[in-house]
Amino acid sequence: MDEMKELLESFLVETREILETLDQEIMSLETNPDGDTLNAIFRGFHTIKGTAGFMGFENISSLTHEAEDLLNKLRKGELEVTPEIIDALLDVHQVLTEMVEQVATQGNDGGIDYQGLVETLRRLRQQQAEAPAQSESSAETAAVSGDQERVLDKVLSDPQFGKRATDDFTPEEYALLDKAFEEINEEFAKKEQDPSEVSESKESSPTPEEAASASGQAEAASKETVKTTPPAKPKAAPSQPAVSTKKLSASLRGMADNTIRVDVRRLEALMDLSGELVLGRNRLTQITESLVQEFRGHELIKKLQETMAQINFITTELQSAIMKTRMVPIAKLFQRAPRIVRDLAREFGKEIKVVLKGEETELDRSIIEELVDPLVHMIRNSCDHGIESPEERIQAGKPRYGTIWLEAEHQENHIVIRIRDDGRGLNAEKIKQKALEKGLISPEVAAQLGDKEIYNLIFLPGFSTADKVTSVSGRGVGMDVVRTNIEKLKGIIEVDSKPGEGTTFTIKLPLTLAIIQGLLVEVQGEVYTIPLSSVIEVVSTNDYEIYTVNQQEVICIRDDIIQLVRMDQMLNTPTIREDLEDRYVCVVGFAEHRIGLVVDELLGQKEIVIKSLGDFLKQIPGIAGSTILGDGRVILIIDVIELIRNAQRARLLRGSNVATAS
Amino acid sequence: MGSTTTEVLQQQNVNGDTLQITAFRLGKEEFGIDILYIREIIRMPVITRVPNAPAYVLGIFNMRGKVVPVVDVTQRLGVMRNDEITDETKVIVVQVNNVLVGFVVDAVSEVQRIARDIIVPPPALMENVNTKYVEGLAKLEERLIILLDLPKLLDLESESETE
Repeated sequence: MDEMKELLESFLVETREILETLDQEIMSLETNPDGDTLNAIFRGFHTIKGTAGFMGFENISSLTHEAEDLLNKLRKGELEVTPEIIDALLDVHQVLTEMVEQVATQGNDGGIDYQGLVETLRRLRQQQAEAPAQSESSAETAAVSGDQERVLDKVLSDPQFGKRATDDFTPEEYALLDKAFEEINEEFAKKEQDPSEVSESKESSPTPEEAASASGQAEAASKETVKTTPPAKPKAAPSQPAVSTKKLSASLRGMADNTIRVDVRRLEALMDLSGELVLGRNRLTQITESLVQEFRGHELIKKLQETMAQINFITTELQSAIMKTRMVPIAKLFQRAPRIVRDLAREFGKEIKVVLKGEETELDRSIIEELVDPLVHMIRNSCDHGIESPEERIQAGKPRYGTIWLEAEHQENHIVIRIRDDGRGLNAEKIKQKALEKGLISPEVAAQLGDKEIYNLIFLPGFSTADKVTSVSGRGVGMDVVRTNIEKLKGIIEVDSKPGEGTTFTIKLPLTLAIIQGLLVEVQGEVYTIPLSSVIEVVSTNDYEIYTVNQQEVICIRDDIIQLVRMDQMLNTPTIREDLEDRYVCVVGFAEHRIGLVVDELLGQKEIVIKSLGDFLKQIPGIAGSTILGDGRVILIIDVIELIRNAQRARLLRGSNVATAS
Repeated sequence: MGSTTTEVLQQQNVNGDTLQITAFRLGKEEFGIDILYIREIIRMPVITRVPNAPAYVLGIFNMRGKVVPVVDVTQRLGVMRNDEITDETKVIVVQVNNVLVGFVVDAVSEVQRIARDIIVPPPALMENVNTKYVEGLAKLEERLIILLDLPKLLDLESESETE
């Protein structure tokens, strides 16, 4: 029974994975209908058909079978790739996804109607049926060997091949190489048994000579001494390359085995445990410090300190190693874009292409999951509002095709993601008007705002510039929700735009959410922590002038006027202190916004493991989470971004001259 | 998970005719909850106040590496509790619908096995207790144990909107 469950589990994992890549492959087939892509798609469906058949999911298996038949015609060149075919394949993909999810939830694939789809597939297949039919198997060989050649060419023509570390290969390359070599071997084995077949498959599969020299090159390149087989004797050649390719194939297979699939829950458990370890380590450090104070000079103390330093180091290393296991390339997220854009472009009658950059950039898995919705939303916005219709674009002297760029890169401890389009850009005047209409800003403020500040008004709650409400955007909740989502991830989002040239959304995110550096502060006897990453500087209230402008306290630091937030008032501490003597101001900021948090004492800096407040408390204003200190006390983490936002909003409404920006 | 005390008990109870409850005291009344909800019963821990949280939230504490909120249910139940914290004062940490939460009680008495057929539905009105959160009453010789509908009692979010 358990075995069955395991089988089912791996069927689901594998099939979902194939479906995920199939989606993109079908999409790329539209723009690039070459043999490689076709073969990849065919293989994907073929694998699903096989495993589904084995598992007894007949609907999945018969639908994939129909798709396979259609693809076969395409591979043989009997049919041309048409948008209609792409649509049908995407539909197949869609239905398969539904079926697989039903298998996951209900354990069967029945009840989903796909007969209409089968009809469509059959109709499409019949369209150009008069073309001469080749035998299926030879077509398959031809197609697959085309693939082999491509990979071999790619690898062998790479002058860096020998030097290229094997782990530079992508998993796909491994798989392909592996497969290619296996098939070459099979091919040779076959030919040895039946020499008559050699001439038949000569055109499409690599001849023994080619393969021999190829493998010779490969080995020479990988600096192995090898006796190059003279390419003259085709009959003698087969055994030799077969051996050497087998060798290479085996070594590559060894590499491929270096990755294993791990249940996410196990990683989460590891992550939790390492968090606990950090807490324990912190506690130990504290105890050690006390012991050092008390028994200074004792011989054991020195040993304790050494051991402590070692534990410290290992814990930090372990932590980062575990953290790395959770990193996933952002490609997982970006790859959804082309499909979404395709569908939307069709719906709006626009022509849009997607350019992805920096897909290999890695990000914590949990962050990637949370990014799906905001990203989809922004892409929809770009398609709907940003990119113009082809006619409009041509009139503006731009290419018919609009382009949306998705870019990701590392910047120090952050990931920067940009969603850029070359559409019509934002209309500052219109945004300002809307914001005024909806009472989001006061007229005085509106007059003072620069263009960039105006653009960023679109993130305010209840804002929408869409003249007409469409099914995809313009419901007036959009960008506010996007920003809330990004800020939940401790990230920031900004927008910039040039009229007529396009709009760029920039998202900046931390690499991980689990562990941060915190500045511990005391507010009326209570201890809080402020994420160090947002602290810009800390000053004493005695050193700078503090004024009150429009009932708002501000501090003047050098040339900057910074709005103050009294933390005791904000946190409703049991006692509130009125005076400002001998207190500290932590100037915190994100993007160009700055505010000053008034606290009583500074208690130092600590690495802290962020714990949520749990489902029961959910959102508490001004609090981002909690952490457990070395002595077991729980302290709260200040939500700097929210405080800044509140100050910002208050300023926009008040219409004072106080600047939070500097 | 989303089931009520009675349902859980019905599923769990071998004989189908007895309940296992933990009885505790809050003010003058004695209450009982299904033991299956209970994760831990501890002495009053050091609690960190959570600013700007609803008034019934006393704060959060560290339960072996987990941050758990502690609430005061007396107001909701309409019972008076002695504010003084004694050695008897306990926090009962329960898990309801996958959410961990602790609530303060004056004293925990014992685990009781009670026959299902002695449980009677609560009267429409009770003198000292808000019957909204009461699932039933169990009469034991000299005592009256008020069985609480824990999910309802702790579903504080939806309540606070109407309050």
